[in-house]
Amino acid sequence: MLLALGLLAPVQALEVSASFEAAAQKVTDSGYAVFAYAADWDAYSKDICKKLLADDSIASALGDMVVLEAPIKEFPSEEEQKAESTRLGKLVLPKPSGHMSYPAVIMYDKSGRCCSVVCGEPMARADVPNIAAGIRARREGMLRQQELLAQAAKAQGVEKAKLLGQAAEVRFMNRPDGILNQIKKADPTDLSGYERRLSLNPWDMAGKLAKMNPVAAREEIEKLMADSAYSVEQQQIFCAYMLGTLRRSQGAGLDDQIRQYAVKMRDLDPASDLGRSADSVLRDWIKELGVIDGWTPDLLPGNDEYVEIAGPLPIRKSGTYTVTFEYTRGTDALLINGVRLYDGSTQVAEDIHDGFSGVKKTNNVYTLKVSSSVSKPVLKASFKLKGRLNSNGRIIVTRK
Amino acid sequence: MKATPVIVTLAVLAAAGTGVYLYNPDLVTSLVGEVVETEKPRAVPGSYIGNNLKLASWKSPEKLTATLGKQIREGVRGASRKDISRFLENPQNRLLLAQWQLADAVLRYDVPEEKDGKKQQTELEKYNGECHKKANDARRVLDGYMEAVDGSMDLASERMQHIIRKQEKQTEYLEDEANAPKTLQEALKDPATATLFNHLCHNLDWMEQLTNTGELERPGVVLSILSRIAKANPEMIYTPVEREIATATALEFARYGWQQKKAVERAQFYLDSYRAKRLHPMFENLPFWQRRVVCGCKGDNTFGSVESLSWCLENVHLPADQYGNCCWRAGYKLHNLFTDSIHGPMYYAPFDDIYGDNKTGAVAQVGGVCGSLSHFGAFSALAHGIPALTAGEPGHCAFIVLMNGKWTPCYSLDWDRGCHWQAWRGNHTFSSLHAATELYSAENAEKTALSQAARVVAAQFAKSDLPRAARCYELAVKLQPCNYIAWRQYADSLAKHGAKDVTAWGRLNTSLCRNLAKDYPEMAAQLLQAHVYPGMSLAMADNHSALLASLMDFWKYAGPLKPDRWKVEALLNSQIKLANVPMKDTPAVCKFYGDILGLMANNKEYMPIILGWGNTLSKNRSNEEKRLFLAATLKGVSQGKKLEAEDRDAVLKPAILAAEEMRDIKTFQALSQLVSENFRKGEGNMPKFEPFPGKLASQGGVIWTSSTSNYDKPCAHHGVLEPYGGSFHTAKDKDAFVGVMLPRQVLATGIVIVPVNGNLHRMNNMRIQVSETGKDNDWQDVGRIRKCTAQPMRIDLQDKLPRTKFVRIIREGGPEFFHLRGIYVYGNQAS
Repeated sequence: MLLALGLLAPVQALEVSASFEAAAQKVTDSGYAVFAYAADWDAYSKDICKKLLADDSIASALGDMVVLEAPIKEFPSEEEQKAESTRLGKLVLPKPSGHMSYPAVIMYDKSGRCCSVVCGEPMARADVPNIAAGIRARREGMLRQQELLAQAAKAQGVEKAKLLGQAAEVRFMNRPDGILNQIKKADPTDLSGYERRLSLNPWDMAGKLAKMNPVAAREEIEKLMADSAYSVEQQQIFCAYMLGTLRRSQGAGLDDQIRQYAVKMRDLDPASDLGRSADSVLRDWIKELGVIDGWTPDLLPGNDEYVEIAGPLPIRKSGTYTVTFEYTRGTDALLINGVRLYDGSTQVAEDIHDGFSGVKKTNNVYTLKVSSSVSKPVLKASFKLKGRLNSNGRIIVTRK
Repeated sequence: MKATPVIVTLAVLAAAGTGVYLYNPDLVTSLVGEVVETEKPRAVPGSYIGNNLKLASWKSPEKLTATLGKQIREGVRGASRKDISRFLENPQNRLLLAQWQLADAVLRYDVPEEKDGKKQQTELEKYNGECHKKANDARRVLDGYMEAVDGSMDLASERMQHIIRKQEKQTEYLEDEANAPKTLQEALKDPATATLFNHLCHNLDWMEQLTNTGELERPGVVLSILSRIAKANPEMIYTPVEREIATATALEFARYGWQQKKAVERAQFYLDSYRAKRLHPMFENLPFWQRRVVCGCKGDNTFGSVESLSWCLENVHLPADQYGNCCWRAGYKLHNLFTDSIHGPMYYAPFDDIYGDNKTGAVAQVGGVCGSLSHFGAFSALAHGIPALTAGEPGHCAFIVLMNGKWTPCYSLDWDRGCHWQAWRGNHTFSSLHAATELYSAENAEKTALSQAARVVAAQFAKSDLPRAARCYELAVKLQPCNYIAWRQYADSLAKHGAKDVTAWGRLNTSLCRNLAKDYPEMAAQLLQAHVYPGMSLAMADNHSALLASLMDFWKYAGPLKPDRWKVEALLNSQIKLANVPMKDTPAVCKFYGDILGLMANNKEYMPIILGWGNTLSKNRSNEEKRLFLAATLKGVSQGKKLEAEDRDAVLKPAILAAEEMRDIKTFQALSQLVSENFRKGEGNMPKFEPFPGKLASQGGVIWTSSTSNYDKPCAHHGVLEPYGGSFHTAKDKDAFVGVMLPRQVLATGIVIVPVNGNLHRMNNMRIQVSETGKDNDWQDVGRIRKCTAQPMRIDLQDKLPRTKFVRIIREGGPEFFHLRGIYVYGNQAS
């Protein structure tokens, strides 16, 4: 109801109240919007705010919010601080330790609680459409949050906790003070799950997991993942926990798991930072036996079957190519049976001989004579292997 | 048309008394040929434009310094203030002094020294070789990658493309650096650079910025960077602030050997932001040396990349007084969401594609610990043209911002800090920022100009007439005791030309203590340790009593601990080593310690520190030896009066109160080790209480109270923070209080307050506050106890987890006494 009333308010020319006292006389459920800019420590933020205040799309986005201006003083004297507090009354400016930057549109509910701020790039660039959209979304959010809180005030038990939890999570909105305690009181056994959800500190949890051994950490993360109390964003964070833990683990099949969790993390919210980071995880964390990552104990096969050597391969034209296996570290040398080159699925060249690449290197270079151009080069090699080898090295493919 | 300016110039020079230069065939510019040839050259702003040097003369810096030096010596005649003042009246002479300094720098950096008839490789040549090697290696790796993809990015996988792009960028910067000119002669091969240099070396204001505002290193690189900036910004040299941006950037990047391409990018950011009026208004009027702080901060750090700075400009635009707190936007996060520690390479790696070189943006989202947070804070201010820098503290990184003319430590946990930007090479002291502010201030301009001139004149006599050189140096440092380079050059000239002159070294030592230690004791101590003591101890090797007397000079003149507490103990350690006192010879160590303590017994600030130092020296010694230390302490503190060992608590009382007043945790804790055994155990019977989660964060901190009284036992103060308990007892105060400074910042989970037994009414109405900074206007109420109980009282902060470095308990009302037995703050590390 509140939401509907607020959004249907007619667009009016913006009137700026001279003080909080005057503003408080007019305030509605939509609350206050304070246009804050540098009093005298920059040359542009005041102009940006003036421009915004004269813009119809901003007026429309603000609806019936009561508007004030706040020139922010630098090193304010006591008198200036008093003047500011007279002007703004109980509308307290956000601390610089939050995501604060000027110019800004700071939005307060009718009780004077700071709910949200529009600042940063769109404000610095006077990007009017973006700012108008930001103000509108926040005003809607504020009304939605108020509506949920009003409903919660009438509800009891788990239902109350759910409504409070939803109010705490309205997009762009600051969490109302003391809401977690209200949830705990309404739902002492946390059947709604909102206590767990809202009290989870993702970085504290990351620290705890980092101190555990990987097996225990994975069990703990799986428990978190299985709990439906957590939000999409939190599920994404759990994927990140799992990915880091897997990367530091050892064992077979980890690459598949890394791939699986990275894809899940991306699909949960592709536009978020974690969603976007999934691409670099997929690209950089999954190692392949081949030219880029060489060979490592985890990448080598456990038997002597021919396995693919991943590219990039400089093999296109006819000519002679060499494949060199160059040991770098580890307690074991690598013993090679041979190398085969295919164009797609057709074998076009091979060099089969026993090679040895350790601290000493013997016959570790394989030569492939290619008589005609290759469109889809696939390189395979076979090693003398029975089980895991503690060996690392580079694989270098060059044209002679 | 062409003759007129020549005649006017000649007339002006003649009137100014500079005709002498025109008689020197090496120096006289072919006025018709080289400078006037350009038709109606556009005037480059400057208070005085000279015209005395041919470009060719810079080909031989040895000859040039000799010729310019000769002219300076002839012009200045004597070594008195009057002589130098008269010399400076002519702006051409000031230009000569600056030109000599530039030529001297070219000589030092560009010209190889000869040793045993062989030319040595210069530091620049070594650097150039390294640059070429790095560039060649990078190119080889890139070629290998390209070969692997058959020269086509289309054939490369996404991963390979990413690797290649990174390698390409790295190679581009390394090759640029390898191919960029490094010496003046290399730079001057480019005609546009030569023209620019001709403007520069004859422009008095510009030259004085180059030579008299701090360090001038690698002048060829400076010129090369300046020229590249000028090519992209041809109007730059005609606009004073823009020219200063370019010059400040060039000087700093050259000084630290940061890549020239990055210097050009950094300067361009500030030029563009300045033109767009996006910088803080204070930037317009910054003294030149502070432009160097802004434009030249950490050129090799991604926090200073154009992307990072641009992001700050739009996202952290705050009044200057708020930059100290903006670092918390990032949040203290030891592990990222992938559970990777910040101490490994994977913390930011998954986000590299998103943020690229925008490190400040990345930190705001991903997080960081003290290093990242302090860089975030410093570079947010720097992006707006506000001087700021990061600073190292033990186990911590803080930052410093110039706020309202005051260098203000931010996110600072300790007085013990070393600045990451230095006004003068090797001087990391906090006080150097204050000294530089005084030295380069507008109100001291005249005095400083005279001091700088005396310094350069002194250098002309160092080789041939050391006493005269010393007189000039003495004049320079008396006129401007903050002239750090003058002190350094004074010591260097003695080391080079008067290494065994005991009198000269003694004079320098006394002069430094008398002139500088009064107002800048930390700077004086740094200069003594780095530049005076090594030479002085050699010169006085055979005269131990002279050496000891000289070492004591510092303590005779040392002024108050300002702008902050400093590493007094390091100076004491250096002195005891120089005095050749074997650390195993306890009586000798005690004698040295006692002598200094005796000298400083009445000094409220230094005495507690020296006591603490003595306590450190006494550690790991036998009980018998410890008794010797105690005797030395009592003798020193009582200044000869007889005191028994039992009186030590009384002796320590003022020292403890002084340490409390200074909030000096280190000294407070050291003194607490000296108190009687019974104070180190507490009175016993401490009531049991349930602690809050986290560590006991207040242990090892320092307390202070609104007042002391006859009932107060300062020796018991430290116990208030220890599990065994202690006590404090104020006088009858209105709103009496006790403050606690924790050793580290924490997210506080709770506070436990243990009252004394009895007189509970004195502990009613307690208001409990916390603060990050301890400043008067930065206290947050977190609890209130109306009625004091006999049992420990708990303030639960788990819901708020306030960031806390200081706790204050105010007993509201009164006048009334206030006393407690214990204050225990719990929490988890937040810094």
